[in-house]
Amino acid sequence: MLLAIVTSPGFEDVQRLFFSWEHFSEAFPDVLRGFWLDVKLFVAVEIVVLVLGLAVALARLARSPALTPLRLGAAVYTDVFRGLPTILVVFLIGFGVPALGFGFVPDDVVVLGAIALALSYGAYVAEVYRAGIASVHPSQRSAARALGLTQPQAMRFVILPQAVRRVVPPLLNDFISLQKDVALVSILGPLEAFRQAQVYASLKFNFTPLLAAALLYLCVTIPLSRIVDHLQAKSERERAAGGAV
Amino acid sequence: MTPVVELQGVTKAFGERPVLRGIDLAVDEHRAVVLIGASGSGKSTLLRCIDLLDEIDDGDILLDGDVITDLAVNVDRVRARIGFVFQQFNLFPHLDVLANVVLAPVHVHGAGRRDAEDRARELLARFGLEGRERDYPDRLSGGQQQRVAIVRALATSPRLILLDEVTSALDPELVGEVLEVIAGLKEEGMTMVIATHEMAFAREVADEVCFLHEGVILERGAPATLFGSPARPETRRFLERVRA
Amino acid sequence: MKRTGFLLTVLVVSAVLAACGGDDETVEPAASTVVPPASTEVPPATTEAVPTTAANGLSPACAKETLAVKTAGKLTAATSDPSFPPYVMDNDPTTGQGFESAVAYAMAEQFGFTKDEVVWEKVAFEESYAPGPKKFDFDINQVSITEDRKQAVAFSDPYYTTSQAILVMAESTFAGAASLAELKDAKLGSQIGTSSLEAAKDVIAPSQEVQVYNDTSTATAALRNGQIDGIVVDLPTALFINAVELEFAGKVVGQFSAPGGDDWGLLSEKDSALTSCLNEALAALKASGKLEALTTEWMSTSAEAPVLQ
Repeated sequence: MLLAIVTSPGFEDVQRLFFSWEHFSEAFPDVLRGFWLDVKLFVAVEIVVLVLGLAVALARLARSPALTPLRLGAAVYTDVFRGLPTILVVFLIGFGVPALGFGFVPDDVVVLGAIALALSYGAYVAEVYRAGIASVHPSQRSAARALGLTQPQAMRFVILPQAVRRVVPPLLNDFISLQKDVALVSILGPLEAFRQAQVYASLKFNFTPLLAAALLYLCVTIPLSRIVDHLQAKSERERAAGGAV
Repeated sequence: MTPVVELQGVTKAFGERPVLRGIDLAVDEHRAVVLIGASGSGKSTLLRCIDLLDEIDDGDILLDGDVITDLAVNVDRVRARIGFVFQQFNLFPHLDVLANVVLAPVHVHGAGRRDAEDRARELLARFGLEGRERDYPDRLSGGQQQRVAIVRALATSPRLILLDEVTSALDPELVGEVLEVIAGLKEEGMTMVIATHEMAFAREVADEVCFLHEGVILERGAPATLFGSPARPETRRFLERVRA
Repeated sequence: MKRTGFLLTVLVVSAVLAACGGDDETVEPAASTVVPPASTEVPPATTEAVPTTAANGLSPACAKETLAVKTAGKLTAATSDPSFPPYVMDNDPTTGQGFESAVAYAMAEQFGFTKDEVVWEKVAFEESYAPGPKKFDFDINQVSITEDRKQAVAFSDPYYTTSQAILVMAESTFAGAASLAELKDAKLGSQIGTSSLEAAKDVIAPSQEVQVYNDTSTATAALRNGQIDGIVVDLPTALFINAVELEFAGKVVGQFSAPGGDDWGLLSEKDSALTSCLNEALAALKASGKLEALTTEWMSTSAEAPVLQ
C-alpha cells in the first residue's frame, strides 16, 4: 500500500507540495506563534463554556413556574446556537454585532471570536450537562429531598456532583472539537495557526505549512483524546462495579 | 396524647388510577405501625405521602398535631423532622459513608461539621459500621448499605422514621442484620411506620399491623390478632399467599 | 477520445495542406495521409510553403483544433466563487462583464472559440495550486506571478500589472497619510493569498500584525466596523470598493509597488503545453490594442491615487 503511494505517478508532486522540509522549517515559527493564540483562545473559551453551559442547563431544568421565562430563554438559546454552524456564529458576532454600533461591544476581534465560540459551544455543553443531570437516578433526588435538603441543595450536593462525573468524557469530546474550531476565528482577521499556514501556503503555493499546523493541533487533541478514553474506561469499570448495588 | 403522625381521609391517585382511597391512621409516640399488603396496595405511596414526596389529593396529614399538607407549609422543614429509608438507591455513591451521614445534619440542621461527624461515628459504631466511615457505598454489602441509610436517617434525630421495604432488594442472607437494627430502634422507642413483606418480623416488631388492600386499610389490629385470626377473607388470602 | 484526436489531426493536416497548396489531390481526405505513398508524393515546394500562422493568426500549434485543451472544442476557464468586481461583475463570469471575464473571452476569441465554446469552472484559490491534474485550461483570478509559485504551477505572461493601494475610512486619522511611514501604526488588513498581503507586511512593515481575510468583502466589513484602520489591496479593487461598497465613505490614501512588482498571469497546470499558446494569444491581444481597451473599460485609472513612498 505504502509502496503503491510512493511509486504513484503523482507522488513526487505531492511530496514537494505537502512534505517539503524547507517550507516546513521556514513557516513553522509563524505557525507556532499562531498556535499560541489558539491555545489562549481555547483555554479561555473552555472556562467560559463550562460555566455558561452549566448555567443554561440549570435554567432549562428549573421547575418553579416563576422561572418559566428563564427556562424558555435557555431552551431557545440552545436550539438556536446548536442549530447554527459555528462558522456562521463567528461571522455574525465578529462582523455583524460591531456593525450595530453599540458602544459596549468589544472592538477586539479575538474577543468577539471567543464570545462567538463560547455561545456556540455553551449550547452544546449545556445539553451535555442536562443529559448528565437527567442520567442521575430520580431516587437520588428523592433520597436527598427526604433528608430535608432543599431543591438547590439537592442539586448542588447530590445531583450535580454525580452528573459532572458522568459528563466529563462527553465534555472533553466537545473540547477536542472546540480546540479545532478555534481556527474559525481566523475569518475575522487574526492570524492563528491554521491561518498562518494558509497565508504561507497561498504565498508560496506549497501546502507543507498546513501540515505543521496539523501537527500542532494533534499535539493537544491527541493527549486529550487519550484522557477521554481513559476516563471512559474508568467509568465503565465503575459502572460494572456499582451494578451490584 | 397527640399522635406523632396522623392521616385523615387521605386520598391519592396517579392520573386516573386511585392508589389511596381514604386512609385514616394515627401513630403515637414510641409506637411501630407495620403496613402489609400486596405489591401495589399503596404501602409505598402512603409512606411517600407522609414525607411529602408525593402530593396527596385530599385529606390531611398532621405531624405532632400540625397540618403539613397545606400549601403554605415549608416541605423541607417537614422532611427534616422525618427520617426515610428507601428500598434501594438510598446512599449517594459519590460520598463516603461519613459524608452521607453528615450531609443533612450539616446542611439542613446547621450542625457543626465536627460535632456532626462525632455523632455520626458514634451512630455508625452502634450499628456495627465502625471502620467503614471512609468507604464509598459501592464497597459495602447491600445489608451494610441499608444500615448506613438507617444511620443517616437517624442522624438528624427525627420525630418519626418511615421504612419502605428496606429489605426487599437484599440477598436473603443480608436481611437479618437489617431487621435486627430496626428491632433495636423499636427497643429504643423510635416512632416508626414500616412497610414490609417480612411477616415474622412484622409480628415481632409491630404494635399495630395494618393490612392495605386496593388503597384502603381493610383490617388493622395487634399482630397476634391480625396474624392469628384475620377477620377479612382478603387478609386471610393474602397471609396464606405470603406464607406459601 | 484518442480516435477523435487522430481524426482531427488528419483533418487539420489535410486542411492546412489544402489551404496552402491548393492541390486538388490533397483535398481528398484520409487517403492522402493514411496511405504513406500518397503523402510522399506531395511536392517539396508545398511542404516548405506550410504557413507559420494558423487560421487564428497564431502559430500552427496554437490553432483552435490543435490547442492542448482539456475538453476538445472547448476552452475551460476558471475563476473563484465568489469573484468580485471589477474583475467579474455579479459573480457571473459567463457574461463577459468585468475585466477578467472580458479578457478570458478575448483570449477565446483570439484562439477562434465562440462564446458558447467557453466553459467556466469555479475553482477555489487553494484548489488552483493543489497538485494533480487540473480541470481548467487556465485560471484567471488576479494571481500574482512569483518564482515560488512557479514551482507548483505554470503562469502565462502578465495580462495586468497593478500597484497596491491603501484604503481607509475617510474620517480615519490615517486618511491624511502622505507617506508609507505614516501608516506604520495603522492596523491593516488584507486578503489571503494576495501580493497585497506581502506588500503590507514587507513594504509598510506595520507595528501591529496584519489581519488576514478570506476575501475583500470581509476585509471591508472589518474596515467599516473599525476593527482595522485600512485595507491593503490592489488599486482597481480599492477604487471599486470605495466607489461601490463604501459609497465614497472611504479614501484611497495612495498607491505603492509590491516588492518584485505585481504582475498577474493566467495560471495553468505545471508544465502545461498550453502556456506558450496563451502567451501568443496575449501577445496578439496586446498588439491589437484589445487588452488595453479592456483595461481602460474595466479598470479605474491609477491617476486617482497619489504614489506613496
